[in-house]
Amino acid sequence: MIRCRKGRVLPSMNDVFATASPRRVRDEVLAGLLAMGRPQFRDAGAQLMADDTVSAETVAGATDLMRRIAEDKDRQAFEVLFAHFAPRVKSYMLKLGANDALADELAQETLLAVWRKAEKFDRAKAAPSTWIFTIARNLRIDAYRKTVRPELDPNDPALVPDPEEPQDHRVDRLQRAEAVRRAMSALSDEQADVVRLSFFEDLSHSIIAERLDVPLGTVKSRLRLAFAKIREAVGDGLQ
Amino acid sequence: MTIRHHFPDDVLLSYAAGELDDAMSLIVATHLTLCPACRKVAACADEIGGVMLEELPPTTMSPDALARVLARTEQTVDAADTPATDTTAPGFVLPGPLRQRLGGDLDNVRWKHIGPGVKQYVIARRDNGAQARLVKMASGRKAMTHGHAGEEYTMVVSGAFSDAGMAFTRGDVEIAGTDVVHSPIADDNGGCVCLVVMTGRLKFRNVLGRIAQPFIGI
Repeated sequence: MIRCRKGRVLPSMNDVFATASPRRVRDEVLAGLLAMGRPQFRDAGAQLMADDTVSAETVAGATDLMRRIAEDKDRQAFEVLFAHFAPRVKSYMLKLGANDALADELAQETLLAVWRKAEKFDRAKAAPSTWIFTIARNLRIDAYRKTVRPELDPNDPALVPDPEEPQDHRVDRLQRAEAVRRAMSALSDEQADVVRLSFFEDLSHSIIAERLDVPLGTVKSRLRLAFAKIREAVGDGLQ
Repeated sequence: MTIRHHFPDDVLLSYAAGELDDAMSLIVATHLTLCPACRKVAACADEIGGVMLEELPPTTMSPDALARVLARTEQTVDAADTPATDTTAPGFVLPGPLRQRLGGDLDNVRWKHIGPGVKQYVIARRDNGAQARLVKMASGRKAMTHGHAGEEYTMVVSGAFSDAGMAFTRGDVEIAGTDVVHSPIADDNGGCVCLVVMTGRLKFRNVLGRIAQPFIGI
């Protein structure tokens, strides 16, 4: 379920997908967006109406938008992606302590980087939301620290390559994102709390432990358990 | 050589969440370069971040935000925005994140002697969290027995060492918590170079070590 700030609950895209035809999915998405009444969503909604294939709400839709940006420098596709992700990246920055102006700026920088690095997006490896999250996270860290965040470089000649995976072990991106989402909503409140605090509060595990008033070991074991459940759900659990 | 000693999941999750300090991020990124198994775990942690981002309630952007970004997409990219090309000579030893931080490979490191057969180079001081340094131990050299006030992560970047009967080779990470007192021994055949990150100070067992400690900065 998607929980809005005022406690309103929207039907999760997840629930909609499980049961509905593509057209019904689109209608649901549109109805949801229009009902929210925010200007940027009305714009996105209008785009969706005009073009059946344009939607940033789904992994498949957002992946297609990314392809159009990378291959055709398609500004219309970028606008739809922007309308969906910039307001969420801004929320992410706000949650992690940025003021409104900085959060807005970092969200703009993130989406600009999405445009500029679009060719580097590998749709076989990640969902657009995952890729955009990593860009936002790194830009935030770089903005707060003097040094650039140490990052894995997939083109590093020193990189030890992945072992070849059998074709049937590769889980489809869309299914994977859905599986992660489902596994996360199935976590216990305690487990969900430590994951949320890790990602959105910029707290070390020892501070999370203090805040929840539990030992550090408990925080770590809850995190490991939560993570194990999610990894199992996407088929990474056994190695 | 397959890596046998990995980072625990909660550390990889913290790396993905962006909550590790600079020194810890450096050692994790260096390990990920060498370890496909941990890369897979970290990729899954990134996916959690993606899902959480997707489920955040949106915040209205400033009215001119999109226009400003679109205007900037027209501009040519500054040189500073594109990553510098890797000028490392072929035959380098260090993984990319370390090379980038040091501005070169292992042969550029300005080592400082800290004891017989042991040299170090401090990469990140502890001002902003954990300390990161490279430590080079000559063949067969045994580190002074020590315990830890925090956690100590030792990753082999070249050569090998053994500790309490376990062997550590390139990419392997030894994690020593407050309950561990140990003295790793460098491989007889060429010694080792390790990236060492400490979240707290070492506690030496012998007086000499305790006296030397403030001078060698560990």
